[in-house]
Amino acid sequence: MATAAARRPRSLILACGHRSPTERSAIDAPAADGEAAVRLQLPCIQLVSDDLLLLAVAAGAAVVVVQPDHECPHRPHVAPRRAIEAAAATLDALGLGGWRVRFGEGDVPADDVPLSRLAFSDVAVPEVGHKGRVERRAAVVASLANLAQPRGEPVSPTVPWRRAIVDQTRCTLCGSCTRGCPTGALRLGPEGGTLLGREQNCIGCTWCEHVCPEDALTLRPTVPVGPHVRTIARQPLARCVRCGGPIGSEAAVLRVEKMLASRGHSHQTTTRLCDACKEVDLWPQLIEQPAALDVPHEPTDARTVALPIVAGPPSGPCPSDGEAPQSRRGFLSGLAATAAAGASALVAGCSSQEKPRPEGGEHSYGMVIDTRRCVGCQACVVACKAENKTPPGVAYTVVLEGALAHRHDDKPLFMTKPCFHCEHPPCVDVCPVGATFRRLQDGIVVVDYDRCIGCRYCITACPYGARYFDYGDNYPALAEDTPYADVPSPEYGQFRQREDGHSPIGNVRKCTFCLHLQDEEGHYDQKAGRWPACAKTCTGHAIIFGDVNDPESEVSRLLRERQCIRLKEELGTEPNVHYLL
Amino acid sequence: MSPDRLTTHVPKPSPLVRLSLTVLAFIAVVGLWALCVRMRDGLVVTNLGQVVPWGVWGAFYIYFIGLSAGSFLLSSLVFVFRNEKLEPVGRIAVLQAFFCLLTGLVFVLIDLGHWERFYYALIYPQFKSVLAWEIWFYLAYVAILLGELWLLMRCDLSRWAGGVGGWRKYAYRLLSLGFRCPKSADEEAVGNRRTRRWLFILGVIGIPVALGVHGGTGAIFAVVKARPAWYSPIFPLVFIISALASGGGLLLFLRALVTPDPQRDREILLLLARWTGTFLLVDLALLGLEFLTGLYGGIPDHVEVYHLIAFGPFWYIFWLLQLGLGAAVPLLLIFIRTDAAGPIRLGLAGFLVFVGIFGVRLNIVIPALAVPVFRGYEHAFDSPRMASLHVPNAVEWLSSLGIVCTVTLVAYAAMRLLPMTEHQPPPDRAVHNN
Repeated sequence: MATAAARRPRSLILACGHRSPTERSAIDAPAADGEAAVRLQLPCIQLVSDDLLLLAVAAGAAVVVVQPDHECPHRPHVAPRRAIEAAAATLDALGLGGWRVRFGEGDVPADDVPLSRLAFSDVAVPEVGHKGRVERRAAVVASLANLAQPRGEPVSPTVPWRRAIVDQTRCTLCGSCTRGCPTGALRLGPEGGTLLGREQNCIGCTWCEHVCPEDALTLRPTVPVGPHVRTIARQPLARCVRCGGPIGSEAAVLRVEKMLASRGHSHQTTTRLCDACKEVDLWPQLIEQPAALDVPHEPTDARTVALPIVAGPPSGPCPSDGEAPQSRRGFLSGLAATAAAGASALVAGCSSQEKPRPEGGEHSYGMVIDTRRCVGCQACVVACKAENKTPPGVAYTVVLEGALAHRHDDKPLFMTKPCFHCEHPPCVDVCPVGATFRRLQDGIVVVDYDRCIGCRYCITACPYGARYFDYGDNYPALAEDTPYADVPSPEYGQFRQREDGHSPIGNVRKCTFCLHLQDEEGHYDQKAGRWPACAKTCTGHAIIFGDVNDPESEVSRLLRERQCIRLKEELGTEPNVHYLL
Repeated sequence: MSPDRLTTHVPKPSPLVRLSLTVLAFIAVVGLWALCVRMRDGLVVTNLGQVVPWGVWGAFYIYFIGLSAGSFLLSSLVFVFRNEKLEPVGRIAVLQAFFCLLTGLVFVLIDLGHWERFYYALIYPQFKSVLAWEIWFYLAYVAILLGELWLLMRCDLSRWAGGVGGWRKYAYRLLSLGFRCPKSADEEAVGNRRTRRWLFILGVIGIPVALGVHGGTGAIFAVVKARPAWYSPIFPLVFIISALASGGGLLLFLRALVTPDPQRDREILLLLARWTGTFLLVDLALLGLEFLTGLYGGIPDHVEVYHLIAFGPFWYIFWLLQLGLGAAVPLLLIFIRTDAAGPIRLGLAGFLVFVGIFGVRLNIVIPALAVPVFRGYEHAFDSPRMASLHVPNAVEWLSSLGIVCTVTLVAYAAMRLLPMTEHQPPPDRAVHNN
């Protein structure tokens, strides 16, 4: 070891760990020119990345050779080759000789590279690969900056870092550049008055330069020095005339006002209000009088004015009944208001102010069905049959395969289709005896088997084919009087035995979201297995069930974060089953 | 009332009529056996399914309700609008309306999965449902029909109760509800005026009820937004117009069948035939409108229904029964060379019209359901109940025929045993006119 310390190794060989154990233990093996070379055996040569190579050079290695094994199953090693190209390009751009990093399958060649500035032993090279990528990148940046700076040469444009130069006279701090930046190298300051840059994060994609609407931003190649945050641009802040809160840069507001003025909108009160004050001041006026936008309003205390806007059900991007101005409920209430106006102006005035709100209880159970996860295995159909013991010809959930015709690709679309438990179920409206209804406490649409007369009007009225008539067919197991025949159906917790002439034979049946699995308080418990059979069984986790009233439920999260659709939305049924396509 | 009509009555059945009655009775027996099978085993014996849950019974239901409403509305021409020419068919029209309504309701009853709970519609009505409203309309309608029948026949019935012996004496007395006809002609004239006023009042009430009965039956379909072919505001109107056409056709047929004097009744028959033909023409125009807007709109599910009607496996119901035999032929029989039209020709026209309207009813109920609500829904799982092609089986057809034949026989008996015209002598004392 004393010899090795006296003659510092100049070559680093990153070798493939695929080799035999004897070779793997060979450290400080002599290079071809007799000089000592450090040989590092990585678990897999695929782990070699450009910043690892750069770090090795920065740490003092004159030459870094990536040496895969002939028998390696990962050949032709595309990823390591690309890493070598990237590292070589960076070294070349810094004037450090890109050839110092190369790919070698044979012996390590000798070279006459000047000694590096840093001692090889100063950096614990073997540990770098185990650190997080961010820390690793910071180390590379710091080391390469040390290498590049003393030369004083302009940085070549092939380096992957850019410094944003902003024309202060143009920039309005609109934030377009920050919203597009994929690595967070550009950010707006805390109140929107500054543009901050962290060049170390930059990957040189030039997005910001292209999206700047003012052409105020230009990029220059750089080698960042350390993990510093620079203030790239600063603008005076505009503040809300009502509450004094920040609303963005003054330049941006001025620009908006200039645009409004060019379109004939001279009134500027709204542009100087923050979002909260706009809602408080404007929406009541807009609801009462749509033309109120151009009417100057008296300052009011924002905290004392209640918003009359009714929040819709937490169905994410899907439109809700409360917000649909053309809903039947709205139309009928409008009619009622009009009729009341004839009798009493006071009543009419009150009625017209009423905002529709969907009836809701403590829970509102629904589903999100991710069609991309559905593989059409029909496990849900089978699970539902087993759970609810449905007879032949009755299936509370089915998987459709041909719902979309004439597709432009050959991908099948499987559509699991339970009952949608609509907010405004047409099946409920048509029932002549009120045997089917939507439960107020959880929104589940159910059938009272003892009330249903079996007219099947609801089947014809359901736009989703979710209802089935129990004609009285039986599986042979019942006719043969097997033990299965004695198993009652747990539906509605009624545990009915199937007998000729008795309900549910002769009734309309449908999915109940397995409500017999609810506890006494109407809760399901997924961990305890008390969960709708289809969702519980879905192999691809394509059926996500939950309470949309619970903001923490997976259903609510998906509805918030993803774009969902509901089927036949134009019918106004407001289904509680949503699809992700 | 002209004196020569006072003795008008139903003639003795001819051998042909007797043969027909025998055949009807045979079919009725077979059909009632099928009905017993259905009642014993439930709807499992039918070919109905999940895609097409309403079949031929549903079609018969709206068909007979239509016949009833059409007949009643025609009778109102006599009792409300005082159409003297049609007066001889007034009673037949009301009686026909009554029996057709009963038939329609029987078809509803046997179509229910739990027919024994039919009265739930009365004790648990859910008034957002058109069907619930309809039940009450039917009840009001039955009351009006029975009231009219009693008003029309009470005098004759009380007279007959005094003229016959045996069980019929008591039956007639029961039917007349103890009403006693005035002895003197003057008192009878006063009574007749009072009767006419009551008939007028009942008719005036009855017209909107009858319109509600069948317009409402159309609305049962028209409010179903899940089915584009049904979801049309024109539907209730179509139902009423086709009801008038079919009711007129049946009345025409019956009157031609039982006409005692071809020459004298020719005027009535021609008038009825023209009414029927006109309603048929309007019905065809409405059908054309429906097709036009549906095809123009081009909503796939809507167009597919029309495609199924016109070119599906049962195309002949549309082209041959509905348009050919049910419309083109009777229109030719009614409107071409009217001078030469005799009772046979006009009766045949009436027969074809009211049979053809059944094709209309079939094409209303089944094809709109046969197009599934989602593409591929019918193949979602393998079951005969998921078939989109509904073919009614023997039980459905036989029970339907059984009900129709039974009611026909009962109606025939009623027409023979009840005074169908004013001052008609009891059947066993009947003498042929002229």
